[in-house]
Amino acid sequence: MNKIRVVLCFIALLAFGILSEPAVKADDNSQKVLLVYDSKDHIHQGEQRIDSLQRILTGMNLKVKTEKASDYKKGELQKGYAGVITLINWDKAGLMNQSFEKDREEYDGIKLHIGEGITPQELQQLDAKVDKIYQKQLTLTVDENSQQLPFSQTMEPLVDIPKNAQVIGKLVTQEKNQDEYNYGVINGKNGYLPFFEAKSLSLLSATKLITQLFKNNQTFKPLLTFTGVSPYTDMEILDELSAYCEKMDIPFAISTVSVAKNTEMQAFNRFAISLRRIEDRNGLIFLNAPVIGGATKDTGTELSGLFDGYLLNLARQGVYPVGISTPGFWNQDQILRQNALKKANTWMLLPNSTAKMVNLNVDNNSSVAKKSYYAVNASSIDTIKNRAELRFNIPTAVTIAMPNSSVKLRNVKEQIRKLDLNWENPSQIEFESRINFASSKLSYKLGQYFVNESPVEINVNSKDKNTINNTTSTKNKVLLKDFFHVQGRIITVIFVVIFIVLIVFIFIGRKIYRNKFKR
Amino acid sequence: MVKKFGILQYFNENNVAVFSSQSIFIKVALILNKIFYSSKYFDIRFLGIVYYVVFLPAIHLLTRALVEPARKIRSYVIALLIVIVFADASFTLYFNSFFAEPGMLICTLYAFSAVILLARGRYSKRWRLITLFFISVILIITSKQQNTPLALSFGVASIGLFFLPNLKKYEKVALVGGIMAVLASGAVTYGLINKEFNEVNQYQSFTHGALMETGDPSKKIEAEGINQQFALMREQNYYAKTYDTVDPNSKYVKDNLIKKYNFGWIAVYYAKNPRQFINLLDVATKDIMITQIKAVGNYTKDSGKKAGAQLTFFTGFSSFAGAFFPGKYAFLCLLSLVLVMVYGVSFYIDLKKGQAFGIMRFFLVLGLITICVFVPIVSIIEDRDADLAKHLFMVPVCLDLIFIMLIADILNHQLWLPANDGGDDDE
Repeated sequence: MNKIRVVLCFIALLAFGILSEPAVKADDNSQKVLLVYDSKDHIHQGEQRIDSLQRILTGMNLKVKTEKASDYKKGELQKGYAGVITLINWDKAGLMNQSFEKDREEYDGIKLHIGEGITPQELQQLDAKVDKIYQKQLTLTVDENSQQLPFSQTMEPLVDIPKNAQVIGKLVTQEKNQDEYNYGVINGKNGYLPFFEAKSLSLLSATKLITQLFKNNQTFKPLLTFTGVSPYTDMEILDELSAYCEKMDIPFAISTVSVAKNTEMQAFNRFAISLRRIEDRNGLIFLNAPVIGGATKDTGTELSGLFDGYLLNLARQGVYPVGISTPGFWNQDQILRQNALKKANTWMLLPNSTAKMVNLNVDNNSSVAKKSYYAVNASSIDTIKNRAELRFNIPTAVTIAMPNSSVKLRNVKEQIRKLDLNWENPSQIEFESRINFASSKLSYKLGQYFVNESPVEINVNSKDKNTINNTTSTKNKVLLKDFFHVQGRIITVIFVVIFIVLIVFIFIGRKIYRNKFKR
Repeated sequence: MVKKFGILQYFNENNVAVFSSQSIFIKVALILNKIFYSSKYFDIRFLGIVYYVVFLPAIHLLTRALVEPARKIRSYVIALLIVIVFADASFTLYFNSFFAEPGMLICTLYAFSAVILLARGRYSKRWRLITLFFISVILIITSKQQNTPLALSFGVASIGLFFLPNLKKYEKVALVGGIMAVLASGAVTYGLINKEFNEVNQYQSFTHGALMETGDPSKKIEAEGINQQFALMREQNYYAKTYDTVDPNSKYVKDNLIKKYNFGWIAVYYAKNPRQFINLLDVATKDIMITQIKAVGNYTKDSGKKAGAQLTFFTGFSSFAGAFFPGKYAFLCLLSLVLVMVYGVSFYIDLKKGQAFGIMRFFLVLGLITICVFVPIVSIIEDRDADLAKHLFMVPVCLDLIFIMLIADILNHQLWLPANDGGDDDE
């Protein structure tokens, strides 16, 4: 009877745990933006531009509804959007939707046009004229930085802009007389970008323009992040990398996947030790999304359970992730967002190109987190000068792929040294992360980890280093193992002897049998 | 299961993923389908008909090979056994599918019957049977990449043909040519294995093989030069069913795992870890006689049966063998040894008497036994897939053939006595 009671209590507790599983609440007061594009323009990486814009807006705590212009329905823009962004990837395709153009003209919120094909109405609202330049090699200059742009066939910069308009960046031709054009222009609630590239100076200035347009004037230091870490990574290299960051006094983060099975193995223990040592060295752990194989939209519960399993197994080993990192498309998919991202209040959104895109239930209705890092590859900002003073307008993670050889590790160290950025230190800023999973809660604040609101210490000891470097091996002594081993050998010997005797008997018998007939 | 499939109406821009002799059967079925049914939809039952039409003569030949031409009860018993064993629904169910197994079954029956009929000297025109034998063998080997090692086994079985009485020199040369063709077909099939398949097999032979049936494999793989962290990949599939930690096709896994080992590495690994290898072989042997694929349902949606429902009609033999055959590799080896010894005696007797029957039968049994013993090993080293039962398909077929022949030989009093001593007179 007692047993039944215990079981019932356990079930009740479990049910309570499941029912009360609190997804980390998104900031419901956050504003929503409508992002309308003409075409994905696969050939010219139009999808990358859409992904990048979505991640920038999420970084600004803006929910985004992304829609192809041809799918726009009349009156949609009146549904409480804080702004509308028109992205023209391929001018020749055109918007092909008069309802949208008409609604946009009448709309009085924030409006941003990116790319060619600006309409006379938009120009009128910007109070400017447009010029068209053909086949020019241009250099984008913002403050003291400049970046040479790829050769452009055509571009439509704004001219004759009003005096009170704000200009972000200049486009300079490479001819003798060096013509100069405006890059980003803001006039009141209207903004314009003649083109957008998801990298380097173009990305930084576009981000600046968008944040200023939405009256968001915060600045952030970048967070150094190593991506592509997994339980299969060379742990010695990972340990050396984290030791280097500690030595250089650089706070950092890693984005790592985990495993749901085989967590009893020595290899998982090594992985956990490496991660604990990272936490001890002022490194943060972002739990990265798994790759999607044959999952369907019915596998949401499985995905949620998988993340719970990852987090539980890591937490048991004293590893406490502070957030979840995924490619951008996870935030555009209802199943992926709800069952993974929503568990955390801190996200890191990586470019879609880092993973194979698989859609389970795309609604293109992205959500927001308390803090969402925009991941940008370090190589894409190393052309920018005066980086020590560089500040970003949204939380940004400057990513470097995890090196997997000693040579690459040396290169990465050199790359970090040369980047010379003023890195964000989450242990010293208002950084409060929280992950809710199953019935537990992991949080982090000012360098202190908490499990279910209770502070915990990161346990690192001198033996850990040996485990990572393979200098010791743990052997489990199994009781009576030797006995069974010896027993097995004895039986084998007996069988071999019997077999030999049998063969001898067969030959003797055969001889006797033959001799019978010989007489 | 699905009955109808769309027929591709336009040029197929994708590379042919698989090279297989099975295409011959499918092409014939497609032609019949287009004549009698539709040019847009393919009804899989046309493929079933094609297999059935080739299967019936195979059963006929096998019966002729094993049954003495005399109206005796034992002849009927043997014929009945052949039907019970080889017309078992677990075999014939394959006919209505795109699996390569029906072709393998039918061709094995032809090859086996051809050798026995030749050994018995039933037909005066031997070259027809010899040609049938070699064509069947080549079709078996080229039907699937996993069958390439069978070329060696059938090579052994073909040795017996050299003992045919009154062989002329050019006939011996032709036989050598036939054996070379068999070996070459094996080599060609192996060479044409799609690179992706190779990677899939290699990956799974690690995750479902080298890492399985042992305690913590971390140290073992580290000792063989692979980062011990990859031990955590145990039980991972190349194509993840839902989610997976990393993509096996990613550059990192390719550079740090797949490029670090090959099948030679795996063979050495098992040689150093024999206990694990034997455990794996036992796992492989456990379900060796279960020929009905459990992962696939046998009914169409409109039949009203539950998804994945299995047919039970006329599966008596396969159910019986599946339930009672001991699932230990050691037993399989001992059984093989006994069978080889039993047929070795008749080989010795006929060799002394200068008769072909016992010799040819022995080499045939030896060839088939090598399939039974080595296919599980090759399956584990090459492709430790979850779908092991299907990879081991040739083992139950070969064992069934040897069992039937053993029973027939005992009933016909021909086991250790020459064909014309024990049995009745030939035709």
